[in-house]
Amino acid sequence: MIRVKIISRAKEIELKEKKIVAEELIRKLGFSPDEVVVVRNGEVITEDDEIHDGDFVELIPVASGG
Amino acid sequence: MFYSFLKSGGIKLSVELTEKELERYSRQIMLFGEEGQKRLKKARVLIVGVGGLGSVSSLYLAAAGVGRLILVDKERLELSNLNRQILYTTEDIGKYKAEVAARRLKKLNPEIEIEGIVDEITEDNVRDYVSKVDLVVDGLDNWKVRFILNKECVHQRKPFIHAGIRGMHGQLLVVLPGKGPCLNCIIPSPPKEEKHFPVLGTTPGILGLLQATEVIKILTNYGTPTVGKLIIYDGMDLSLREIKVSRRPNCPVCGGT
Repeated sequence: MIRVKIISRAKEIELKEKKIVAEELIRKLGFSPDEVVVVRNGEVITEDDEIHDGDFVELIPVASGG
Repeated sequence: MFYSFLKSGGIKLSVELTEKELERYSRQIMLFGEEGQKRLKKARVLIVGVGGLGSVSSLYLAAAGVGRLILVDKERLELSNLNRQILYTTEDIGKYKAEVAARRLKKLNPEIEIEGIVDEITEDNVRDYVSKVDLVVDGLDNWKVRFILNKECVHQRKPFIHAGIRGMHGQLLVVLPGKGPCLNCIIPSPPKEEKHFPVLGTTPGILGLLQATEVIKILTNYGTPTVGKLIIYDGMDLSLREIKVSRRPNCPVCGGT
């Protein structure tokens, strides 16, 4: 099980996957890789990194304004 | 010492503090001493964009006595800017922000040099702008120019203090080239541009203040710069958290430098 917290939607979901590439996860949840920063177990990862069973992932929206 | 330019190179003139300056800055001299204040006086800082973020960072950097502030912004003030761009008044609507900002900051602190330039940073002029300063502050609302500045700061090995805001969220990244990740390491491709984004005025207020705090720390060599950490502000539940970030080995901007 992979726990995913989607900050911009203020909700947390659980995925049954044993393994998923970050970019696949992002797209699966309706985002594009340039919209969110992926944090796996407290550390930022790239879209090519893998997420495994037991990981806790947070999708943090990138804020563009100034 | 984080950057050699602070002890040599870019800043060569030795400066003294006047009696008035010693009094004006007395409360912060209690923190980092006259030596720290002299470093601020000698420093040259470029603030790109004097909107929500830049309004706040420029006010505090001027108040703190950064010797030379260069403000670049190509836009004129609009009524809908005034919920957050606190440098300006209703009378300033229609005027160029860079020019109004320079006048406003000069009133706050006549001891420092302030230049307001109505311009846009581009691939063609970025080198000149960055070469004139010791450090660059991001007050922008677009990724295209952020990436141009990030790249040039990495190239010239100058600190780049990034922040971005939306609604009640924001992020801060202090880029110290060679010492931690650059903006491209964290955000490898430009996010979608959004011209009219929702924002509560306090959000750029808080992020702009965090930027100014980091600038002052780096320039005075006081405290520890927030390098290798992405700072995330969430006003919805009022939290400020740090996330460890690393350099991307294949980063096209800073990889291998």
